[in-house]
Amino acid sequence: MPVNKKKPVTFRPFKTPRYAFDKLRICRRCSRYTALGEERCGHCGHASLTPVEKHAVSLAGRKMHTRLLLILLLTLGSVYFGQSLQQMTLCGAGGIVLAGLLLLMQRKVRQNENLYALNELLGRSIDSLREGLEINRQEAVSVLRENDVLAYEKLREISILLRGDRVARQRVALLHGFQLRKDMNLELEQLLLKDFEPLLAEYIGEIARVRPELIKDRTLRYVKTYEVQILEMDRGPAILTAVAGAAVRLKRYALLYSGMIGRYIQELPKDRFMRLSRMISASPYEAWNGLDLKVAEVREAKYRWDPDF
Amino acid sequence: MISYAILGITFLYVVIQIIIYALRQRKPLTRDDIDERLLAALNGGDHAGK
Repeated sequence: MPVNKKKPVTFRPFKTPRYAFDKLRICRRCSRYTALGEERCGHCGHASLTPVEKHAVSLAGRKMHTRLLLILLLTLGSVYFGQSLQQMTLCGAGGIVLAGLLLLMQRKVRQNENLYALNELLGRSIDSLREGLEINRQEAVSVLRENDVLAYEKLREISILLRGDRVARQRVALLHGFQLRKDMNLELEQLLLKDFEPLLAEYIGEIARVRPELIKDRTLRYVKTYEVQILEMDRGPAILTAVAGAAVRLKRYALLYSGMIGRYIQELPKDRFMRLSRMISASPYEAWNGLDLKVAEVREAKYRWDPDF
Repeated sequence: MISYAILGITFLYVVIQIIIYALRQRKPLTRDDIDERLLAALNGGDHAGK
């Protein structure tokens, strides 16, 4: 798709949560899970969605209270069956001491028990969780025609939990229709697929131009693996040149991907070439794998009279 | 006699609960563990790269 046909869009601010389960909410009524930010449960329609961790905390609390209640009931039973006042007092006091001990222990281990409850809840309901996320995904796909930005935003939220190629592929396809800008909240590593995808290659090329700092090791490895396929694309050489230019950002990348950078050195923009040239001059004894010689050749051929060199 | 038996059961129950809590406290769970398990379960263990 030519650049001018792409749609200028603005995404809502999005912050990746520290833990993937922070995105999850559960309906207290029907126990359906969702990763989207809706106010009402999509299944039962009630406004009873609660963060999964909060729900686990309340489950842990309920479990602890039930145990304490059981002890108090047993204590009452022992008092009831007491044959003398002394026996009743002894049983009552004993029960209260035991309940007190358990309460103290419960207070001490509360944080850990909350996490155990969360682990248990997620482990127990993994199937309904998968089902809930699949419904979320279908919901995102269903709004795709009317509102592709909203569909992308929904998929972005789901991708915190579902990290497979299916969601990533859909996101890449949607991103392909948007005009990318430097100020956008863009990502790349999360979108890398296991196999070759031309739309992803184009996206990588655009990212290399707009946000080169997002081109990291995994992206460079992806590009290197599918270099032949990318070259066969219409804009393949331009994509690879842009990626090579982004790789020159760090010396480590320049050393690791010296072969790939060397193949596109002729087309590198002047500033990128200058950066690489200075990098090599600053560390002439590094294993540049012939890149230093190529840089010297290009410098001689293209920038011989350039005062910047 | 029944009241002492019930008190005994209560005592045993409390001891067992305290032992369970103590054992769990000895190998505490972290949020990172839970997060990793969840992502592995949802993505078939291939989430590490992404």
